Amino acid sequence: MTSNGDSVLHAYGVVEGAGAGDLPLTGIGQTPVRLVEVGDLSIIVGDLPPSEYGEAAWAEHAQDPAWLEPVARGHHDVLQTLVEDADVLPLRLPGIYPDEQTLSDAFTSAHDDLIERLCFVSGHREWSVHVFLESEDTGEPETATPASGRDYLLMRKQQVEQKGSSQQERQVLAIEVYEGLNRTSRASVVNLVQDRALSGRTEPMLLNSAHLVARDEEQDFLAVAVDLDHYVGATGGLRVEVSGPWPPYNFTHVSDEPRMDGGGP
Amino acid sequence: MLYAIVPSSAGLSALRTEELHVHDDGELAVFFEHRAGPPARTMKEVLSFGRTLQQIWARTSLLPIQFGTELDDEDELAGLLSEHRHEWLSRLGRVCERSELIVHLPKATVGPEHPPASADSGRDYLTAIAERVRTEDRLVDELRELLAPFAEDERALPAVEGPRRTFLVPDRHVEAARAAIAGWVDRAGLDEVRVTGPWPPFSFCGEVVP
Amino acid sequence: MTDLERISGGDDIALVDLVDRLIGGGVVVGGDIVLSLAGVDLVYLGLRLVLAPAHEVDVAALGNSVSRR
Repeated sequence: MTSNGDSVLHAYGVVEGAGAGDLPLTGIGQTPVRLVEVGDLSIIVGDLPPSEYGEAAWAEHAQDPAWLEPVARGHHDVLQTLVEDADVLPLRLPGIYPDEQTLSDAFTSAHDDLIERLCFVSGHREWSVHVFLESEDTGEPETATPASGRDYLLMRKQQVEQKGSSQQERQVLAIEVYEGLNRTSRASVVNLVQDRALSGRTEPMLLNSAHLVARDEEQDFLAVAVDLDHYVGATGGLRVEVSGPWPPYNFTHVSDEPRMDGGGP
Repeated sequence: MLYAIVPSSAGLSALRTEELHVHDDGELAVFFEHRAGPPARTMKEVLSFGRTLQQIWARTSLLPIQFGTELDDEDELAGLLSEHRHEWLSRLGRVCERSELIVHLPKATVGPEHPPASADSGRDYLTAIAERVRTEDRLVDELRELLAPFAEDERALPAVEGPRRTFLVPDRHVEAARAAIAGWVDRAGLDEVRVTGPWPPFSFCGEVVP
Repeated sequence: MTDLERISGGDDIALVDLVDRLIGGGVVVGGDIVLSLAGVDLVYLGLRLVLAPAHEVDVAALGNSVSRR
């Protein structure tokens, strides 16, 4: 284990299988990327200058988007390249460790959880789905859009009898998109719709979801998405946009509740 | 090129630099810079523009102007100010002397939602999800009621772990709002609720429907 | 549907999509050096302030005399 005062370790992600050595990738700030072996896992790390990327630098600069942007892209690009061919568990920003011993201790104690999560995503990648309303015909206030993505699921239950406003019909369509894609996914999450000010899109967003899809089922997933896009376009003027594949950022949490797969809650 | 509209004040001159100028008509002021031509529409330029806005925000509330907006001269600027005075004063009025408090609520659920294995379990699945949603929403409702005497507006923010909610609170009520939340947390034993701020009300500026 | 975007890195990824994932997602291992909650909020607030003007303000409200590119 090396302890190098000249650099901090920035951890990008975790892969299964022991291995150490350099990777043919470029990370944050055009720095090299390598693997550190911790038991039967390998951590993807970069050695970065502490003055620029250490704890103090994060405290000072994290809220400056001009500073954060290249760091975020550098972090993501490493994972994106790896996920083309391998299963990798992305780490949240910032993942900074003063030395390999600290890194190793931290990842050793999290070992069982990490193995469980890697197993869960193994053979799968994340796909992002946004449903937009193509044009605002009535300029209805934005508050009509559910404030939380999870509201969709509640509304679905409550909406059996409801007919009526095109706004509600569009919400039902958005939910149908979610459910249709969920059926071709191993897991799905609904996130808050993105703020227009952040996304730069003028059309209202009705759904922001992420889906964990088996690598060999991606074409099926995309075919379903195309069908749903045609359906909601013709029925409600909605548009489905899919982007991916992504490393599984939305599927890394350790689940401590019973799985709901057929056996009930 | 224009940056932001701000309320007129004596302190604005402190923000002037070589490049950054202020046109102040006594009620409203506009920050601008002279440029030979339009800025390149790259992320780098946008973020640099934003950095200037952040410096202005440290001193005064503002309405951000769309990146790349250009006028020919200060006469045109003065004309614009007089044309939109009422609207802009009104929009500024909604964020002046106000801050936002961001409340982090505990996750009602952990982990991704597993798709049902069969149609029957699909109903159970939706019931369970709905139950979790209700739990989360119940907290948000309580919080909203609690802050009703203090907050003028609220928004949902992207979740980080649990849901986040932001409230627009006049500066004079910030302490009372924080105390109300602290009391609620104690009474209900909600260890995982956290409050950050007060912040300049970034989440509430620019979204007023004109 | 428009051609499905295959995001493979590069500037075509929206910053908001990145931040939502890298700050709100991903796994956290070892709690020593993490963004504080205030830090997280500041990231989003800063991003909003910076990106909003790039997209949002209604330029039509600024009048016909404005020359824009």
